[in-house]
Amino acid sequence: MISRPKQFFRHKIFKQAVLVFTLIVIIFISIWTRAFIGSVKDFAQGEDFFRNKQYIKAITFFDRSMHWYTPFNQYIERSAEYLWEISRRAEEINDDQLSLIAVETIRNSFYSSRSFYSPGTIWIKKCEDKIRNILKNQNQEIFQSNIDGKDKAYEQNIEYNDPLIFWTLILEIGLFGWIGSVFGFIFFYLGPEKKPNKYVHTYWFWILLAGINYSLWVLGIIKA
Amino acid sequence: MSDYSSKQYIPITLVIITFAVYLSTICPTVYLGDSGELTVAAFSLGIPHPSGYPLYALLGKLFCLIPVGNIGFRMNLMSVFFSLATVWVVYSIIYKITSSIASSIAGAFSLAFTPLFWGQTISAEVYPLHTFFVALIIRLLIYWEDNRDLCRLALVSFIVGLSFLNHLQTVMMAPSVLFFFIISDRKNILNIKTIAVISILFLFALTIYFYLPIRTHAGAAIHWGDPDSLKTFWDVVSGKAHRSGYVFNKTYGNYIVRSHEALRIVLAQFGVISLFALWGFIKLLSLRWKIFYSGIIVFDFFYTIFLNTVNIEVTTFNLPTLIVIAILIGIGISDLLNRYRLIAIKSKIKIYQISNIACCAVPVIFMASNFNICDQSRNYTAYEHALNVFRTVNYDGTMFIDGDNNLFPIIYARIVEQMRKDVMVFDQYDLFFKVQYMGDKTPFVYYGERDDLFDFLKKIIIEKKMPYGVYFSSFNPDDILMPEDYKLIRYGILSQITNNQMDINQKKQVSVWNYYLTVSLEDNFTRDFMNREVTAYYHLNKGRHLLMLGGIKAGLKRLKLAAQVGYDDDLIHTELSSLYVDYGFFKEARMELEKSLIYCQDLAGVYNNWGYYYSKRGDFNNAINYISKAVEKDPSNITYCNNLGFIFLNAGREKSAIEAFKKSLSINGKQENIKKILKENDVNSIKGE
Repeated sequence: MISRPKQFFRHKIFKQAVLVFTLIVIIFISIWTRAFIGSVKDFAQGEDFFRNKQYIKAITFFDRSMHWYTPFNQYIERSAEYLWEISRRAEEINDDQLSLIAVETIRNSFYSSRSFYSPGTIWIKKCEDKIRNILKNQNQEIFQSNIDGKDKAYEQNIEYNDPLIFWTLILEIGLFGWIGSVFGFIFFYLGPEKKPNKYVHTYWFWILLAGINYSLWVLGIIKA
Repeated sequence: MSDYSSKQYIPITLVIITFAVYLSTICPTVYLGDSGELTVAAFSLGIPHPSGYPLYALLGKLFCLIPVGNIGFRMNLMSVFFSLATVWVVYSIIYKITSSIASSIAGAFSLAFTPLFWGQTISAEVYPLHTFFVALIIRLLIYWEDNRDLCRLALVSFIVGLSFLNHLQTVMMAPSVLFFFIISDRKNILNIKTIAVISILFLFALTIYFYLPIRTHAGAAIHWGDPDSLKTFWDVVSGKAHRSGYVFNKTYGNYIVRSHEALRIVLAQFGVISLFALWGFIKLLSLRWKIFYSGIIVFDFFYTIFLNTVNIEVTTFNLPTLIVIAILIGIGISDLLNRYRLIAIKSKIKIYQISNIACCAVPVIFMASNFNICDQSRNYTAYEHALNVFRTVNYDGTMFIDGDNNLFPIIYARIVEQMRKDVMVFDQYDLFFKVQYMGDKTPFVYYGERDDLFDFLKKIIIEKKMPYGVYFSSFNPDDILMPEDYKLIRYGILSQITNNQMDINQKKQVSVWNYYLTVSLEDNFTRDFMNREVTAYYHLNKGRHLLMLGGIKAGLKRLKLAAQVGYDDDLIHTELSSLYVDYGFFKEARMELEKSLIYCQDLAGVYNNWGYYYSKRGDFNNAINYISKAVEKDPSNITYCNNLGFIFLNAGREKSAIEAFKKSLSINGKQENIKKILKENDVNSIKGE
């Protein structure tokens, strides 16, 4: 006689759950590996161009390396350090444009990598300070007028914010929740087999669940 | 391996392999075309072009949260995910019908590696999700057919509702699906309770459209068409705002050409393997399935050919047809394998396994032969283009953007990567970066047409922002109407607005090229039409710049490269011919003009350029002939009338010149320079105007 746990592990649903889980793990590992390898390869090319003092090409590849962001990847940090160094060297030879491009690259790359958290916030702050200084030196007159608030027209053009992560998650939970509740209603209430579970085979159970999730979804899209 | 295992693990293994291939070929960041716009829409929970794609944006946001790579790459992964899901569902459809693993692999995985299908996995696009829904609806119809109960019918109805939230092309499946239901089980379907249940579920799915007004109101970064009133909401959802000029607007001849092209492209996807689909169709047991599949193909072609103006070479609307063909291929192969097996058993030949392996080899052949076309792993063109655009603009400058391949990468760069917040950006269609009033007179009220208002606001912006630099990002700057006293000059890959009072910093105009990212633009991977456009214009501008600096050899080399990359781009040939004429390279100019005649749909423009070519060569008779032809083709175009006038003047035929200028003024009387020319020629005829 097979014991209960053994029966559970031989069940088709358990096997399929394991299969789906394994598949998801394989997919995530593949994506992480793809990004990591991309980052390493581009970093190596960036280093080569840096050694040959081809700074624009070095920036290109360090930028690419940073765009392959992966958590716990030291090459992202190292690429940022190289870009900072290019900026410093450019300042030494009075090439403000190159210096600006290098620091903007660090900043933009970290912005492009944000997900439910924002990597490189310290770098972003550091870069924004430096960008401000370079621009101040380059465009003293215009910069002063902007600081004084005489010409704030550009602010009207960028008055949006990124959606808030908390409400975004609420929104997604709500969306999948109410769609899932509709599936539940279809399979358990409209389905042919009625099993002796007094809750899942009543329409009000699914309608209530769908209603709660739908409200969360609407709240999420308003607040996000 | 047990039967269960082989049934489960073989397709899973193949899906993983396909995933690895897709992963190695997808674009590493934002792509050209709609990709940038869709990525921004998902990232910012915004609204892209009609029909608003709310489901795409909502699901896309989940992919944006994956903490690997950049946001453009994550959205490209979404395409990979839904393409793989489509392949899996198609596999399950074929397997359900045939119970043959080999034929299911041949059908489903061949689909995975057809250029049209594969091409959609490399970037953020709505079509992978659409194909997933198409395949899922077919699979659910088979599921419903097994046991025609209300539960399964309700499921189909809800999924059809969801699919409408991604792409309106689903409506083209509706006749086939309705026919299938009614012909299969009319009595039960046309029952009031059934109709009520499926209608409620269908409509409930559609409530996801509430996303559009709510997010517009919430101030999402992009909200095309502002769907927060009933009218604008309907315009966006129905696609009216985007598609009003598209439907049935071509000639019979055009439709014949489009039909031929569409058929050729679909058949080219599977090549000779398509013959198995024909066999599969013949061997379909049920007449209603035959009609159902035919219906999908017929309505799909109808949509592709008649309901849009997109070039057939670049359209992806035939993807549902490819799904049907893949299913039929599987069925055809399965039938032939069964026949072969019977013969093999009778004649005791033991090579049945070899035929199974041969079936599995079919997708491998597809993959190998299409890999180079679909590999976009080195394609940073959109990203580099956006970056170069921003590197051209001065601090605190202003930029007007025109054309999808300019606008969408820039939206991505600006909103996702937060590039150049100091630069004020407006788009020519006033959709994303809206034009605003920058005058001093408040409150400001304008009476007149919308287009005139746009020109008025644009003029104020230009006047106010001129000292900081005002630029245009457009592939066709010659067509941009400038306010009086202003002109456009080429500045790097952009055009800068200037007037008589303003000096352009020539040192910067030259040095701007030194800071451009060019690795991807100079690379030699296979490019689609959008990448060819951006790359060809880069070479064209670079060539023009080199010629201006006196680098004739290097400049000509670049221009030849532009012609080569943009071989089917009419504007490239037009621009090149004018440039060659300007620099006196008449042989090259003639070659480009001949190409223009092949690729350019605007023949009036081409005739005008031929006229310019002949006038520069001093052959005024031919010049007059050609420009007269241009005027005949497009009588309302003032440029052609004026050009004709100038050539008449050069040819010493003043009377004819005056007539041409008068005609031009009768079309647009606001041309002060033309009035001046008429005055200089002692003509008093303008007094009455």
